[in-house]
Amino acid sequence: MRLRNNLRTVLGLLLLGWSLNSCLDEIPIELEEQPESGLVLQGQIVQGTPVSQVRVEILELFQFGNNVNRAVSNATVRIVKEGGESRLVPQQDLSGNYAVDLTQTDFPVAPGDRFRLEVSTSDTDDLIVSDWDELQETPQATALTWATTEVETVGAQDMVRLVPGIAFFISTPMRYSNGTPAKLRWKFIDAYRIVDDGLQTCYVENQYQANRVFLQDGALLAEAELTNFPLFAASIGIRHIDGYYLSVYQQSLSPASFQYWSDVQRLNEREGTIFDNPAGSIGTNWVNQTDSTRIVHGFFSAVAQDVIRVFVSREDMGGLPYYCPLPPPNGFAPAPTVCDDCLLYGGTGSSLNKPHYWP
Amino acid sequence: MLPLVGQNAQRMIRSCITFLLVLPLFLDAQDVLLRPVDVVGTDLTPAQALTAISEQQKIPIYFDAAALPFDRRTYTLQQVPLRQALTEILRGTSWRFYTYRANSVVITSEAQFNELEAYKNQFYDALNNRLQRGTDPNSVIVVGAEEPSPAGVTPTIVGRLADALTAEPIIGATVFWTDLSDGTVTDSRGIWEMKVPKGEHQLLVQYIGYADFQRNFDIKGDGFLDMQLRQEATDLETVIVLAEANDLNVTETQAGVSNISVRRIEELPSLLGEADLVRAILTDAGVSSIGEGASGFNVRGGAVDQNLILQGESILLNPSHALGFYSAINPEVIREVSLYKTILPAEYGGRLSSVLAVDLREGSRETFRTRGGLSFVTAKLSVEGPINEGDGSFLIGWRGNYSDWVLREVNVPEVRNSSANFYDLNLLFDYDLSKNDQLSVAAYAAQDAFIYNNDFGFNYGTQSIEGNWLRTINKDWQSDLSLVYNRYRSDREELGGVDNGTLRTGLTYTKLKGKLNGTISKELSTQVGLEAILYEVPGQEQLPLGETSTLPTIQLEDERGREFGLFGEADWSPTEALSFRLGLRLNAYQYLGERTLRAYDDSGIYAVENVTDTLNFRAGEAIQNYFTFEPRLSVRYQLSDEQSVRGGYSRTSQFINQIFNTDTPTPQSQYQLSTPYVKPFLAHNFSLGYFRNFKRNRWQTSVEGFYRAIDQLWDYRDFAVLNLNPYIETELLEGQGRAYGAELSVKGRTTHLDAQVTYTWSRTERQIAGINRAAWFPANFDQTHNLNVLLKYRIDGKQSLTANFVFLTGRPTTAPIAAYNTNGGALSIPVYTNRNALRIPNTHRLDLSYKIGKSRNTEKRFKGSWEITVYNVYGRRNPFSVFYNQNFRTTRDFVANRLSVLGSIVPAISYNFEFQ
Repeated sequence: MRLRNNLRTVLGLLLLGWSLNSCLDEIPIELEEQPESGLVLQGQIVQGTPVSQVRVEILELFQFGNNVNRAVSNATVRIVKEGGESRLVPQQDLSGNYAVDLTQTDFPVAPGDRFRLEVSTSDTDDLIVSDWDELQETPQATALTWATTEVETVGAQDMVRLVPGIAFFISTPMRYSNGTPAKLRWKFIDAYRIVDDGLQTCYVENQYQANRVFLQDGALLAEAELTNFPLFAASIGIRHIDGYYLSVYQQSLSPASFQYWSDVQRLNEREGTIFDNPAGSIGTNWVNQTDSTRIVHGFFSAVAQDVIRVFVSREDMGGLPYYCPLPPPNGFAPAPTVCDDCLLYGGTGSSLNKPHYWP
Repeated sequence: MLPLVGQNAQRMIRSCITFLLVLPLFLDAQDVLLRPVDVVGTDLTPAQALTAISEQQKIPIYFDAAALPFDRRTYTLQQVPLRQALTEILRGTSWRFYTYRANSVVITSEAQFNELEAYKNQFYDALNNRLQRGTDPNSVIVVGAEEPSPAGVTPTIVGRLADALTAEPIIGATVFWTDLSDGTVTDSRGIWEMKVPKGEHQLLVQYIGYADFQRNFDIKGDGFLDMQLRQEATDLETVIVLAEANDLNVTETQAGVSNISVRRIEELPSLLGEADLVRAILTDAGVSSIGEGASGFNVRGGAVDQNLILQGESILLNPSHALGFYSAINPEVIREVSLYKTILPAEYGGRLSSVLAVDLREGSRETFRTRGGLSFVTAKLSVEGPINEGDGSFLIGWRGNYSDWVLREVNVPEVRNSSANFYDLNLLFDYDLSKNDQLSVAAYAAQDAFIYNNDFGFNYGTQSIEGNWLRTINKDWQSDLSLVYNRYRSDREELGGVDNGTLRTGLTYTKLKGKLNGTISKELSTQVGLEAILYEVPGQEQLPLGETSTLPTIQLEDERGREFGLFGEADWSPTEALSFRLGLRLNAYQYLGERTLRAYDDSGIYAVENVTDTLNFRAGEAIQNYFTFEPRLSVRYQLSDEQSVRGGYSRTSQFINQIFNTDTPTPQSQYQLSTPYVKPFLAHNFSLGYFRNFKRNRWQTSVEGFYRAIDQLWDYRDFAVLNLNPYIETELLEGQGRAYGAELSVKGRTTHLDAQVTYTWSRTERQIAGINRAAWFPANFDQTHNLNVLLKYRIDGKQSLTANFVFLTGRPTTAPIAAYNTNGGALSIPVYTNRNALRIPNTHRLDLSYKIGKSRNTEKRFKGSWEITVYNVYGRRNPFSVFYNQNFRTTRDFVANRLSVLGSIVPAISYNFEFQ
């Protein structure tokens, strides 16, 4: 009987393996030629009230320090609004970060405006200029809801099993005010509370689901609005024990910017099956005007965004067991963990201060 | 003296002498003579009365009207047996009747009838005495007495050898004139041809598994010998491998052609117990595949969709089952397969690289037969037999799989919630409308349904029907008219979430082809014809499924195109050593309305920003015309009996393409007609080879080089959006291509061992503006080295061991070489190499099979055979593709993961049976 079942299992897996990732294992592949070097420029102007933010990061693609791309410092970065108005974006640190906050009175940023970045590197004197990117208005999301569900997790021996989970849904118009389809990107920040053994209360706030790209093109939808559109589902864990906030940043993108992130998404979602589309080089809207043969990677976007949040209380989740139960009286002290100091949990996102939106 | 079948029939088959071993041609068959007939009329001549019966009962009655008496009589015969009616009609004359092939009647002179009777008695005597079967072995058969060859001219004897039960041609049988110590072997059609000096000679025909045939002939002139052998138990130890083998390797005029027999398909170690046509093709030089699970095959640097795959005259658009693991052509219905590699005969067009012509066989006209087979997950069954006492035949072939029972038992939810099913069904009918007219109808249906984890699935299928009318105009001319209707539809279904929906693609075509084949002289034969195809591509369609779907209903415009091909070809042999096949094909293609297209500016870049206008075309309006002039040439010069050089040139074009942006076509691939912006593919193809046989043709070798210049080609831009895109030209980049290489082949046969080794060195490259800065780069199916070794060891008459070893260079791929982070470092954006700058690891694999063949005992009505196969013996994890994961320890590095579709040993056992 066991043999028969094993045989059936083998045959079944073989059959399914025909078209799916039946067998993925690591192999070495050497590149025969050294690839060309290049700069990575990522920039964004995010419209806000009363302050709009410009954030730029400049890196060397093939030069590394501490196992990350080496930063390009001392560059001159300028945000330019079509029509001639511009502002310097000063260097923030030695990590290749440049930033400036612009007030609406000083540097008005509004839908329909077109912006670009100009970057002059100090070592090569290259002038690198982005294409103009037009700021789109952002449809206002009407609802963000959640529901419990089951999600698949991969356990031991790659066995898939279902565990309790929580799913989030958004409702939003998918048209701009002039009726044209909106192109949206969603980014998430979540925040949750942890109480450690010392009865210290921490609030952990980080980017969430940041290793994925969430996009929606209104042109590909049947309706002008999304109603309870599922964003993602995650397994229930420490996040959901003692109060949880999910903030959804709904950003509208220009067609070029949307195309860039779509390509990133397609690369990111390749699964290694025979149905995968081939990988390729992601485009850029940067041009090195000093030497056009020098490769530049990255993208500059002008983004407007709307934020919507939902709170999931401990009661909503039915009183899940605490992550850090108090130690038993007269017992041996447990080995030190984040339960001794909740500030150790969640990296730089952990704080004793409540986020401003926490009740 | 051979049986003659009336004066008309004599003229028909004057040069055709028919032998049938064991099954005599003229066995008495009384049934037809018992049929009730009416003969009513006044002043009827015998010829008129016979004609009336023939038309009334549809019974072929052969007679020479001019030779029959003209006296007129009145007949009032009603519902009398045919025998009585014939006796009445011929009463008082010197003419007699007898039945022929159990369903025809021959009116012949009394003298000849007596001679036949004596011969028949002699035959039965011989049979009873267990002497040579079929005819008296001691008698001498005269060939060519009607038209003796002039003095000094050596007669040409052409023969055809077939299985007596199945009528399938016997390929590779040895035909040997023992006293001349000269011989040949039959080709893929069972045909052989030799120059035989005048005089008496002894012919010996042998083939493994069949009884020997030995007879004496008196050769006086050209003649045709139609021979049928019956299977018989044969002791292999006594089989003589005759001195002469098939010399087609040297004598063939057509360049770049390979003939694949059903036997070769069945001999190969199979995957999961199912013999497969495409796997047999892959053993040929110049043919490759990108890996297990790949749909189709690549020929001399051609893409998968550049092969014209013909089942009969029906073009198979998706030749694969189970997403590429089985070909959709049932070997049970195949008569023979010809693969034309880049040098195409003029009758074929519409594809750039090759033609795989699968000729479907007829059912047996002699007996009913059932064949079938079972393996773990597949089954097949075919039934065939005669219609109307041998006037026609039918053949029904079915194959299917039943893997769901396995999947449901698996303890993995994803697998348990999956299903994979397919079937194909062939219905073949053929019927002799008259001696000169044969009608055949072939219907075909194939369907695949695949669902993975109730998550997504494919459902695709082909339905096709073909009618063919073959007419023998006279002994030198023959016409062939065929009409095909074919419909292919494919659905990809997303079965969960907000993307619930069906994406539907397909293609329907109607094809009419007529050709006329003629022999003008011994040195010159010709073929002319016309082909017309109407393509209808239904607009790609998206349909939402379920209430949760956010997908809109989308229906793109339908597309239409028509293709006309006028072709002519001549086979000319000015000398015995030199022969030509000269052909010309003129193609005219039209892209038709109703259609809305964009107009672009003169930049040549089809992008949204270059759109200048929107153009509307009426239904049936010719939007774009393309004409191609395609010379076809093959030349063979025979240096000696055992060596020749052969070369060829072919201009080819292609007006329909499969659109897919995956490594191999999947069922969701769509079909795209050539438009004003999607140009047809065009190529010049050259080949030149040296062919050398050894040991009297038992060892055949060749070395052949090829070069292809594709002067019009397109490829996909990175991240091309192909689905539901009404302006597909925006995703394509134009350029050119080239492929070149050398093919080596060694084939041989000894008493116990068959061996075949093929090796191909080749390169396939493209140059596309917009890809890799317009530098030449390898196509993703470029595989430099391709080695295939096939060995078959015959243990005895029933058992055999077969080994097949394959080596292929890893194909090109594009890989990430760096990355930069975003989203706070959580999301890495990889930077890729130039397209196809790296190669995945090489593929190699060994397959073994052990077969216990069916019994050769002709008395047994039920016969079975077993095959045990071990596919991928040493469990090599051959990469289909390479998928890259980011190394989370270093963030900037990527780890290559090979996707092995079959990453382990795959054993199988199958049982095949035959019942008759």
